[in-house]
Amino acid sequence: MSASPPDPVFVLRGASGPVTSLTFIVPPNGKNVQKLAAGTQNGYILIWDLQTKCLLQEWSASDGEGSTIQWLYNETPQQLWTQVRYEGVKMWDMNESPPVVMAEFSLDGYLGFGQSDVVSVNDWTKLLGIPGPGQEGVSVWDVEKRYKICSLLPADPKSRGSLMQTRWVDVAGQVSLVVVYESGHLSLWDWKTSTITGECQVGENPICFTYHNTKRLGVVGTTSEKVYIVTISDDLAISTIQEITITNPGLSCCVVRPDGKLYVTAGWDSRIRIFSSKKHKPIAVLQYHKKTVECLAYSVGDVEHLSTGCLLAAGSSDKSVSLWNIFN
Amino acid sequence: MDSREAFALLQGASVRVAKEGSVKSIRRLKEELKKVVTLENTAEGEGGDGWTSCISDLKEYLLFPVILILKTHPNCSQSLEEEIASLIKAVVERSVIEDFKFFQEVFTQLFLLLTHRASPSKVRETSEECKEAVLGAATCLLTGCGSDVRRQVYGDSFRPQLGHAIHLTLALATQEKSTAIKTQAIATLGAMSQMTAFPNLTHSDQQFISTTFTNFLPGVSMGLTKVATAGDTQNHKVTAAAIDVWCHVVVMVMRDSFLLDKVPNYGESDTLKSLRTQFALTQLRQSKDRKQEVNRRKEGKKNKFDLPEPEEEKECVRPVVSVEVNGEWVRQTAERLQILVESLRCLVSHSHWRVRLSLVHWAYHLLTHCSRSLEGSVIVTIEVIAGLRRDEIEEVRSAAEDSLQSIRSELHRPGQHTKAQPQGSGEPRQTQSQVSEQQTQDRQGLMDILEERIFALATQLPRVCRQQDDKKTLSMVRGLGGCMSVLGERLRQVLASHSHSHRLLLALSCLLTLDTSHPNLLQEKISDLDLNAEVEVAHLPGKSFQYFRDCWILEEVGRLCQLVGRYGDLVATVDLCLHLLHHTTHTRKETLLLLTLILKHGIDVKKGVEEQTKEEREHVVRSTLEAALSPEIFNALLYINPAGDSAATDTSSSDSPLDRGNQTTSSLLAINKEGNLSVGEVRSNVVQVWCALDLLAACARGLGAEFRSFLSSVLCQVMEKAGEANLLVANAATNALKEIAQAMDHNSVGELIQNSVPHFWYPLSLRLKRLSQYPSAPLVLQVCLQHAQLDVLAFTEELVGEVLTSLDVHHNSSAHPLLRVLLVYVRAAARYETLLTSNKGSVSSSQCKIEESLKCTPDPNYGAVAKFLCDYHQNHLTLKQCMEKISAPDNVECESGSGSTNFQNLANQAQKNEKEMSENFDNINEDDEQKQEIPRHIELVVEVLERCSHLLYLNERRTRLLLLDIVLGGCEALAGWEDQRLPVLHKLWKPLMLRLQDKDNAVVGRVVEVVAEMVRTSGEFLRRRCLTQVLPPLVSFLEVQGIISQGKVRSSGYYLSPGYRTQLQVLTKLPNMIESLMPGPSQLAQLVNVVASYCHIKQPTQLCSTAYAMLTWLAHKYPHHVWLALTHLQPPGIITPPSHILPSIKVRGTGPQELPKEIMDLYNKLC
Repeated sequence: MSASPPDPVFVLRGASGPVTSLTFIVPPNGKNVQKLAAGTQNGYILIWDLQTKCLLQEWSASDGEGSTIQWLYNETPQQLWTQVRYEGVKMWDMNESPPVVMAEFSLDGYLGFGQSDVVSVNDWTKLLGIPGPGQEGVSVWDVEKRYKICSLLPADPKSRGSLMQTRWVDVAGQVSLVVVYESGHLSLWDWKTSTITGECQVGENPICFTYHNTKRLGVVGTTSEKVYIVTISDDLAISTIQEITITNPGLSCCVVRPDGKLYVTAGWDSRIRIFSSKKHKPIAVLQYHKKTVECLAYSVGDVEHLSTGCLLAAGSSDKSVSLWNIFN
Repeated sequence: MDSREAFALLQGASVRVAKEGSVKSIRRLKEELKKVVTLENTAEGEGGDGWTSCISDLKEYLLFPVILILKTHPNCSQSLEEEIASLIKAVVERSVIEDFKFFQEVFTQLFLLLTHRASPSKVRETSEECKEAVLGAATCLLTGCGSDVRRQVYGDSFRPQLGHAIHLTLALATQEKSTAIKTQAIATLGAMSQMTAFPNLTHSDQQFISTTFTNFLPGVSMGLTKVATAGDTQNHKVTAAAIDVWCHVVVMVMRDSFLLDKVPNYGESDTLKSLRTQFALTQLRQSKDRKQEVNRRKEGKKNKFDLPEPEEEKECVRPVVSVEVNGEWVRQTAERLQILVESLRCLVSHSHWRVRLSLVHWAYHLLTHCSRSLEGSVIVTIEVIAGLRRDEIEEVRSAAEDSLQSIRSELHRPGQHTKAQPQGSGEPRQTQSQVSEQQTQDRQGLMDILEERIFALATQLPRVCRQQDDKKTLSMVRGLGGCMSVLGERLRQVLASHSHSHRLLLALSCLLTLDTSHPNLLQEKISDLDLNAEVEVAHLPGKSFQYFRDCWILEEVGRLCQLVGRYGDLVATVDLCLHLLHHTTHTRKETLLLLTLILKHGIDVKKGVEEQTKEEREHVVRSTLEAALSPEIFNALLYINPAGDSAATDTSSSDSPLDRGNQTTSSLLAINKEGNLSVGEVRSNVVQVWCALDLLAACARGLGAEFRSFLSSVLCQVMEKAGEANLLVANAATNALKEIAQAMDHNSVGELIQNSVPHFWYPLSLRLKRLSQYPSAPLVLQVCLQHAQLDVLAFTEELVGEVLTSLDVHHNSSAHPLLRVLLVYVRAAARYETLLTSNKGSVSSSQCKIEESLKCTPDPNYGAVAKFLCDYHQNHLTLKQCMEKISAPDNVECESGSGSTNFQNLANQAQKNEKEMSENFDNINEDDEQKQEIPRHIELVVEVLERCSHLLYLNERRTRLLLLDIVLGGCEALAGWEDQRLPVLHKLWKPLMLRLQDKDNAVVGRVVEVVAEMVRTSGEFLRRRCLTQVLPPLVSFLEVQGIISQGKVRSSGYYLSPGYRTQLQVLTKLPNMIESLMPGPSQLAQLVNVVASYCHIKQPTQLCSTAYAMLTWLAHKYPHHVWLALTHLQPPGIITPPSHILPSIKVRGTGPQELPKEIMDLYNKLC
């Protein structure tokens, strides 16, 4: 790491509170990514035009006082998923201005920071994994039919502690749900049978989890200096393959680049660290933010005038979103 | 009227003519004739057909006697000849000549009158009136002849006579001095060539006359050219008429439609000709001789000129030599005519518009009719039309514009339409299609010629423009413009050729070579810190060019570029320009200017240039901006001495190569090459940046709202330039900002900045963090704060925080620019605070409401009014106090009479008042502060001031002065925040006091100002320190300096010394301080004495007047002290009190001193 790390290509501002979630808006067919959505701690969602760097839309997604937007997810230009802490998951119709709620799913008593996840099993079935009921459970919904398929509750809730993250993974064509518990357990649930098919445990209290299906690469960020790399085998066995130690403890988010060659972590030390997937070596430490980096997102493709490959966006508690064009 | 009636009327007179043959009788006949004509005219008015005249029937009868006279009396008097000629004219005017014999008779007699008897080729010497009359008669005769006669007139048999007549007429036209004769002669020539009737003649007649005139062409054309180019002194009518007739004759002979008939394979290109011969040869080999024979016969039938016509055969018997019209002849004639065309072309600059108008028609006809035969002249004609398009006379302009339009539409008309064009009657169909085909070829040929011409002109332009002959350059540029505008759409193809456009652009950039020798280019803002001062731009130099001064040339180049922008492939052109920009460093400025001109019209969204997509436009602008903003262009060094402004850096920063940015230079170390720029180079840089800024502005204007996506890359850099000290660059950048604001639909630059904070703040923060790379980054913030309204203040807080952080790192190397930003910030904060406090009275005390109302107030003048009211209120209070104090002593004096106790009382009272007031004020403040949190900007100002307290120890003068300014601004900003203010003031006090003992008098003066301001805002807190630490040194300073300055005159140079200036400053600022300090009586007495000592006639005038002003002020507040001091300056004397009870006082004055009159007046007033 001889050369000094680059600066962000741009920094977006205008958020009224810490930025807690980010997602690039999937562009209409054949176009470059041009919009970025961010959720803030006080319940607002902001959408920027990345070409003009102007704020396009801002509205409150929270019903009440304004709780944290924990999760933002987008797969079509018309829809945006949000998860507001204490309140629930909402699906917004982006054609309206301001957007209107198309569907709402309850958190059912879950108070933690765990994020939901959406996956399409096939053309007609879309599944939503959402924390709750309670602190330990996970519910699986059929999104199209608005039908709750099951609730996945561990047999020994006490020993697991509360739920930290949920994530759909696709292993050899089979969609399963990875649930990360406070105890360090990573359980692979079969949503059809409501049983755990694989499980492993990491030594620290996990905070964030991400998984790349084709590379079979999972990253678990914890409250300590430890970062765990996990993988899931064909027979649905989940196992830790590497343990990385970073300088300062605490990660709030981790993402794998869409091509799976890199993964990035967002630290409580306000630094963004980039690792190579091959050897799990740290290859860059990006420092710009003054406070904790809360969330990360990668664009699927080029962003006009900003990057020729995937653009990395990082939201921070200092109310700004930095955009990085790095290792492209 | 019946011819018989007329005969009856005219018979008598006619008989008398025959009998007498005198002048009188002919005159009589003429009068009679006139009568008949008038009678006839009235009759015609009643029912005549207006065409046939009775005179026509009687013409032979009437003219017979006079012709006889001419024949029988060859040496009759000139007056008789004149009368005869005018009679002939009168008769012929009204007749149609159907009889060739009659025509010949009259014609011969007429020209005999003009012929020298001895040498027939010369003009006979006769009276001018006679010549004019003869020519007039000949003109009428020629116009009046019928078609049969005409055919014979232009026939071979009559040709020698016609030739002779033409020769004589030409001789008259060229040699005579009288304008009337010249005009008449030219008119006669026109009549001889059937100028008016020609377009109405049948095709065959036209061809016939043309054939005849081929013989006369050289003489006529040369003679007329001679007449036309005789000079500006001759009547314009002659010149115009000569041009018209020249044009007619040349067009008649050389017109393509005529030559097409005459010359086989006329107008074919050389390649085609050679192909044809080759083809014919192969055919020759292949086909049998017989077959060829048949072919030839067939062809012979088609082309009547291959074989002699029966008529011609007849004529051929006669020995008249006729010019053989063939390709060779055409070529040679064209070559010769080319010379004449060139000489006529010079008339473009003729002073009379009528001549220029004729020239337009001349050029138009040549171009439309002879484009193939006179190939070489095509360019000349186009250039003439193009040049006259910008004539100052409307008629000429519109005529030229119309001609150009019709030529262009002719050229760009699709081929099939030409068939519908009206052709001469009796034209065989085959020839018609042939003609249209030829026309298509014609156009093609013309296009090629034009293209070549553009290339040639572009090649010549650099050489011509270096001659610095504006007229020449202008006509050349106009010619180029003309060719290009005629080409129109076709220009795209021309410019698509790399070599063409490359050459053209190079030529233009050479022409536009900018003059960078103006000394004002390097002018800098005098006080770059005074933000309110409007930039004085009136005396800034405009863009001046090395090779020309005429503004028309620039305008013409602008039009040229407009054509390039409109018709050329914009992407390719711009790419080429950028290529030039990168590869030729010496023409960078010019290329930038050229690009500006091209883009001005090339990317106009509103005009909506077709075929241009949004992506294309964006691509063009993006690459242009990239080039314009590239460091080597945009960040070129603008100051000779890099430490001069904004680029001040320490030598330490040049340790690492990264730190050695474009402007971080050290003038002391010669290792840094960039520091050793010559004045010329720097001037050139200034112009370069100026051009680049103009280019940006042009892009913004062109793109309009689409420019938004470029803001993030452009805005920061332009704002940086707007903050530069160089007046020209700053002004250009401000203009660019205005353009951008307009493009974005904002009313002002302030609004633009306010709305574009997201665009520029990130690049700015990045730059502030890397100050060594971007040493002038603080300027951006400065400009931002300068222009923007207060809303931005909140947004800049973070940035100012960053500035403070980088100040901690760079407090040595680049402190100056950072400090400037801080100064701007504290001033902005002060402005904000004044606005807040002035609003407090009217709006409820809740902070948030005030802010809301601030945002809502749409009127920008609000602040000024409020400020005015505030000032007014304060002034009012002071005035009241003064009034009280002036009136109070009188009363007191009457009561007690003890001066010192009175002073004491007064002082106490005043103090009490002050205390009460400040207590009240404090109470108000306390109330407010309890509710308010300390805003971030106040915290920041405090932080800034704390930094200042540390940095005041710095040794550099400029920095010190700047710091003192910041302290001053900070004090103003903190006026309403006592709790924050006082601790900081306390911290600042010690370094300030140290600076008071500075050797640098400028610093001392500034310190006095700062202290005065501090005392104003927190007098109570600082009063004692001031009285003990500030006032005594100042008084003693004045005491010492006052003695030195006595008797100094301007020529001694003392006025330039820092000591003098500081005295002036201190004397000016002291009143402010005294007002709130309220010094004790002894101190005051000391001060007044010192000031009074300046009121001496020997003191420098300005010091004296300043001291007087201060004394007057003091006299209002402390009249007794002043009186006493002034008394001491009087010669010794005894003051007798008004009351006898009191003892008289003996004043031991300082002796008879010369006091200025004002002082004496003041003294007398006080007494």
